[in-house]
Amino acid sequence: MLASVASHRFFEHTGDFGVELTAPTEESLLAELVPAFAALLTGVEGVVEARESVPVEVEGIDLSDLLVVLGNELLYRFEAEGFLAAELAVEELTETRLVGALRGERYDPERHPIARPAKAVTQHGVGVEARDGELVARVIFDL
Amino acid sequence: MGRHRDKRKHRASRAEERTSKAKVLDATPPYAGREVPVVRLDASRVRIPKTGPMHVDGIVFADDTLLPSVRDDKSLEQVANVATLPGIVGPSMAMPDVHWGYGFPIGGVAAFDPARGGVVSPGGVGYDINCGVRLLASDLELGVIESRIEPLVDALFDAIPAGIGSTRREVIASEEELDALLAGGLEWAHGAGLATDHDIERVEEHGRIRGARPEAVGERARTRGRPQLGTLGSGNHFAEVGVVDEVFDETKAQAFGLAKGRVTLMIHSGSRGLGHQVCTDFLGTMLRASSKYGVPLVDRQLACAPIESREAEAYLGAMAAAANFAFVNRQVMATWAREVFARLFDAALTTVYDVCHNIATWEEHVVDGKERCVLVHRKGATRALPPGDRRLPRSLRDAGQPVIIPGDMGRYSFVLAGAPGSSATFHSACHGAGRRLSRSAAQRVFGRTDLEGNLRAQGILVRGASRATVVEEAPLAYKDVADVVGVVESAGLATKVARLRPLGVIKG
Repeated sequence: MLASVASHRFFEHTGDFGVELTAPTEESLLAELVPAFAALLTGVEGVVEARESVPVEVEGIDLSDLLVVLGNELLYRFEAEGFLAAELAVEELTETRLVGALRGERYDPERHPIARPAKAVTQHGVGVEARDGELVARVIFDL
Repeated sequence: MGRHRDKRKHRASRAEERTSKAKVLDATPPYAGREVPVVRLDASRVRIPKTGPMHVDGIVFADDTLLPSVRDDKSLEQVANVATLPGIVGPSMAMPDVHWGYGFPIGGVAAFDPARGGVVSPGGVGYDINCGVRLLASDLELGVIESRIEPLVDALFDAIPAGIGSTRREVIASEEELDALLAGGLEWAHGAGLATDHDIERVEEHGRIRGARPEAVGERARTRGRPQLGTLGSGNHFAEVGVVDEVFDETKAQAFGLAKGRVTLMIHSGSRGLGHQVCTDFLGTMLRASSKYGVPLVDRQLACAPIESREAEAYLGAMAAAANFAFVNRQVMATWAREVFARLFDAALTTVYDVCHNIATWEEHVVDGKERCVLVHRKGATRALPPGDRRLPRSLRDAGQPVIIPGDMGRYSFVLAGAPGSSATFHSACHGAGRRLSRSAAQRVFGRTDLEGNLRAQGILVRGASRATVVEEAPLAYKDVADVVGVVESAGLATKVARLRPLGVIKG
């Protein structure tokens, strides 16, 4: 049976933090990384609002790699451009390429105090598996 | 026309390389799904037997006190995984502060021989390239600053930006200056009036990893790193005012410039966003290279390329540049700290030593009875040259290399000297205490306690950019560094010279 909505939950890593994503499709799995990343950074779910939209395009070797590359794209947009993404609309997805739009807002230290300062999204243990009709992926962040 | 066609062809082949042909050869880890066996060799070492795709054994430096905590996470699996990489020589090793990392364990040491198909792996260096520690000593007695520790720590907190994305006034004005810094490391800093001859003498590799290729550092890395030069960062980074509270070896302490009762400053930081982005960028390159060169990966973070490949050459050039950035980063923070000490106390800070924790360097070692030039990866480990090593400056050659081992912010840190037994570890020792609790566990245990108040009652003042980070870095989230140092000493890797007690800490 397919899950109707995507979800995420965080898990522990000795010095860092990981997230497990569950979703019915590859598109929604990739999209779920976006609110998960925002929640990791701010320590609060749903605090980042979708006030503006910016295009995004990333390439990877496969779906697992796309997750890592997308995560590092979110980090760069935040650290270098001050943009916090709340959600992702996927427009095109192939095995190795994602095109879409990130919706989010400018980083505001008052509204978005940083709880967990992620510095990178790692390749460690990354993988996607089918489980009970859903896709499940694990991604570990370097803090 | 021909040139244009060639260019298009080149672009097309690069695009093809990036996408359709690359398939990662994901492989099963040698001890997947079962407990990693260990065989005790002596009081300070256990062996992980070679099995399946492992080319060599694993060796973990741990006594019976430390081993249970090592078993609690995936460190042992990771030691075994590193042993599957091509061209590894000597065992895959872990220092006694080992804990779960990504790809390599934190505390991992491994050497690769190009003559045996050896590889370089960005995951074996880590994201924070040349994260390391600078220790400086003052001629101030504790009594002089004891009543003024608060203004001192506040002034340092103002002078040294801390926390995620922290930035400060521009130290470099142009791309050309950044290129010169990336190529020259402390030589650039010396030319800019930011480093003394003594500083350069007392920094690993004299503050310049040779072979740096600034052009291999991408735009994103430059964008992230440029405004962060001279900043501490977050996570486990810190600047700590301390005092030498015990000296174990007077002769070596004197050679290092340490004396009981003298005030010190320790700075723990690295290459900031620049190094992180270099690692991120090259992990992608190496993932494709692993596929291209047919290297199976038991963990994608171990992505690698043969040392003599163009991918490895580019990574090593970018890594050296990022390492040079880190040397200058710590130097710039030392400069700000020197200004504070001069202004408040008319006192000087002299560099004791500066060590890298995350690096891959070319070194000569005896492998299977023969002198070989190998690429030593240290991921959360410290080089520990013994007395007499010709790479040491004359002022340290009789004593051995200072090995600076930060503990936690509530107990103590140690300064050791490299010892002859370090030949067993490619001249490596531990780099810290090693975490005992995860960050979440630390939040659960200490989140509601008055951590800063308790530390203040112990005479330790803490200033943090983020309370969450301070809590996650609580003293008891770490192992007792005395236990870790005890194993290093009993294994003959390094000997204790002095102990430092914290007085004031700035956390990112």
